[in-house]
Amino acid sequence: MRDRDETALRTLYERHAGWMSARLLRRCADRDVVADALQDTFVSAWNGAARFRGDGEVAGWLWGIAVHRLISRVRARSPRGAQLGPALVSRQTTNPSAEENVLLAIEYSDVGSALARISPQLRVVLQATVLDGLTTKEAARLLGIPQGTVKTRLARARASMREELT
Amino acid sequence: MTIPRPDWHADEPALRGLLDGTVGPVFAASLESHVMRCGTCRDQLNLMAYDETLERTWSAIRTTVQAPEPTWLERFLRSCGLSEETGRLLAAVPAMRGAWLLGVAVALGFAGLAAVFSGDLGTGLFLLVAPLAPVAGVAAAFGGDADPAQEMVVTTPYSATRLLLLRTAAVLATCAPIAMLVGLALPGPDWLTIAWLTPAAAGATVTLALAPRFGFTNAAVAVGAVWSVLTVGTTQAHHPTLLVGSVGQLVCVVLAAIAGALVVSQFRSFDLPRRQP
Repeated sequence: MRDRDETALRTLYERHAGWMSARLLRRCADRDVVADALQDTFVSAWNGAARFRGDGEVAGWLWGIAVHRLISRVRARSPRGAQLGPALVSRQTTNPSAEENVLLAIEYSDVGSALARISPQLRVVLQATVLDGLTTKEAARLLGIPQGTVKTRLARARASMREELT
Repeated sequence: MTIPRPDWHADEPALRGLLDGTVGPVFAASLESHVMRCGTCRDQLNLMAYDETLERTWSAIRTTVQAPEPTWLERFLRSCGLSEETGRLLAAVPAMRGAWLLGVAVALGFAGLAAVFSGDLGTGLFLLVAPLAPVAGVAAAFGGDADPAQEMVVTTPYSATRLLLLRTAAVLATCAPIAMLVGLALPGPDWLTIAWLTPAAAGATVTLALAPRFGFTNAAVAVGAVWSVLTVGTTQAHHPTLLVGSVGQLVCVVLAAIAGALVVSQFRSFDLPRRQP
């Protein structure tokens, strides 16, 4: 990649494009926007390969670029935000199956069940900011809601989580 | 608190559910963060999610990384706020190339020199060449033969009207400053510097208006011939500036207006195959 080797870029693409597109589609349901964001990601990975110091995971590095490219694309597409993917749609949690419950207990324990219980609107904001690591401004762009609303919901989500966990 | 077991891996139904969006949001978030830490599960999800849409995206990526570096002109145009595509189209206009610019500069320079040394005849020569430079530029920008980007332009799904205005603007932007500079050096009255602009505008619009019927090259040659006869005639009569005097200006403005209206009404005919048999 540093030597501008196209085969290396192809290998990188084959190893990462699938899961990245899957994760991006969970945030934005518009396939065209996701494809554009994915394209931007690998083009800037190509241009910025020299900047990758190799001390982090490649996957994390790529994902960091991808989320921000997705936000730019969503913003370019429409000022009100694009069609959101399942991870960001505030639907009511369907009761997790027994198997999911067990896995949740393994992965998150109390936090998992607390997350499942708070209001879906608040959970979506937590997903974008805490789990995806976006700033409130970026989350607002992705979700198509004002930044102030993101901040209020985030504060309420924190309060709810604290309540659930004590 | 249960500590996540390091040997835990997501099974296929779980990953499938993640792709379909059928798993609950909290479990999905948990799976997603697991996938970021676990290479095995990431590879599996990657295989399951890789489809032919991603191949299309790959060809787009390959095209982008293989594209030649933009020229300094393209970079300059982009920094002026033009889009990448517009910048490339403009940079591909023949009038934007060094050889063309040099040609226009040399032709006008000779005309200017002639004017300095031989009065009326030189002024006539300048008036002959200056308005024709944009006409020739317009013809070259659309003529096809002279444009290496012609194939690209014809196949680009781009508004022909916008392209027409863009390329004409590019032609004028390159010709006008050179001709003005030369005009400044002329011994004649100061207004001569800009007097040629109206005939130039008239010539370029008439070329554009005639082009759909006769082709760009023919239209430009016809306009050039008429203008040459007129300037040579007036120069012979020792009134080289007659054509760009008040009457001449008025005629040119009227001509440009009529031709402009024609161009607007004919916009459709500029669409797609520009070189009809």
